[in-house]
Amino acid sequence: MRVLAFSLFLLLSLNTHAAAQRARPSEANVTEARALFIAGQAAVDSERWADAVDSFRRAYLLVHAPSALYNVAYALRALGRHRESRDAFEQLLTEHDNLSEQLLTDSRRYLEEERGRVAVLMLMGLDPDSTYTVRLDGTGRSDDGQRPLLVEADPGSHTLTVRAPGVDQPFVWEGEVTEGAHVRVPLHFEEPATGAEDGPEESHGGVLRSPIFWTIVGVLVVGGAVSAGVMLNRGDTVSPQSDRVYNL
Amino acid sequence: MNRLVLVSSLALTLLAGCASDGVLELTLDLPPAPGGERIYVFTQARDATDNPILDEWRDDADLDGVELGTARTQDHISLRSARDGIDVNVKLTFCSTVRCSTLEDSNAPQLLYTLRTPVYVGQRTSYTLRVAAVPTTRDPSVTVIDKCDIAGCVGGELRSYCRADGTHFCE
Repeated sequence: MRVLAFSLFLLLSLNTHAAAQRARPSEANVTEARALFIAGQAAVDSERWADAVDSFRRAYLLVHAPSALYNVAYALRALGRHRESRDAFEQLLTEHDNLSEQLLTDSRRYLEEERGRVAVLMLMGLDPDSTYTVRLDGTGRSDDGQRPLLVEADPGSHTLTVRAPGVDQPFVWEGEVTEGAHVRVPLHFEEPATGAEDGPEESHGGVLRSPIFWTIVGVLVVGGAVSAGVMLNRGDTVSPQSDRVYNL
Repeated sequence: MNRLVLVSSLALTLLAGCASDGVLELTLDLPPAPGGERIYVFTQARDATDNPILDEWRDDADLDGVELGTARTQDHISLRSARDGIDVNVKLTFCSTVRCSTLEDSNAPQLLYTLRTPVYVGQRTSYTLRVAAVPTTRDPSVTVIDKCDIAGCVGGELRSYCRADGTHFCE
């Protein structure tokens, strides 16, 4: 059986130190939180963990009951969102200082487990004097200047995109990380190719009238555009893994 | 200068044509052929916008079918699209020939599926379509696969790949 589902009276046990410093929730908030808690438990029973997270989180925001936050952390853990689960357990243990013995023991145990499950991408080769734009699976991550830059990730497949200042082409990494792994990701940014600008020399300024000149310009511009298009799109284009492909 | 404008326009047109793609990796987990029969599973996939599932799709774009074995068979097909938000219709037809090309295949047993928004540009998603047993009739009912069942953009094996607000993790 799941180690979840605290009874409703726990939901309303608001006499924690942190809670005591907050204004007591209104009766309307308590009523709504109770309904959300019940909805969260129902979601857990039918293994709709994402719904459970939402319900328990909203309940917690309304009344700041530690049992609701515990359930948020627990449901996040079930979803494999170990970073968020770890953070929720940490918040529970730091902001609620009179948890029951059982809740305290379980929370500490799960916190250690979740800490061990979070993987870390170590971004190597970044200039310490530059600030990069980092996105993991489309979500922005801050570059705090630490080198190597550490980006936490849940186990599974990920796409990392890093943009360097002044460089058009992003660095893209796709890969799988396992629980607790520390993966070194060496970064390199390709400078944009500089096109040959030298045109044929011609006296008297008549070069603009030369069809040869315009043919060369056309080839360079179109070729450059195609190359740029391919390069710019590389970060967003995913290659099929099978050789049996339908183009929709 | 007209020539410069012309060349630039051509370049921009070519650039615009280089669209990004998203890919759904579709795995078909297929049953063994009953009684040692020779059965091919002919899989067709189309953008649902222009291809109603109950229409017959006739063109040369289809892939060859895969032959069922004595144990379960897996067929891997990549569905690539440059457009977000499309539904995808999939037909599995259980034929006696590799492309369902004989007369007797014209009414071969068939299973129909609609995958809701399974492709996200710039992302790889996946779904395993499990067929328990070889059908014996052509069933016109359509099984709809919800977008929250399409895996992608988050690690682990989840029961739902949507957030609490109903948006997919790839959105």
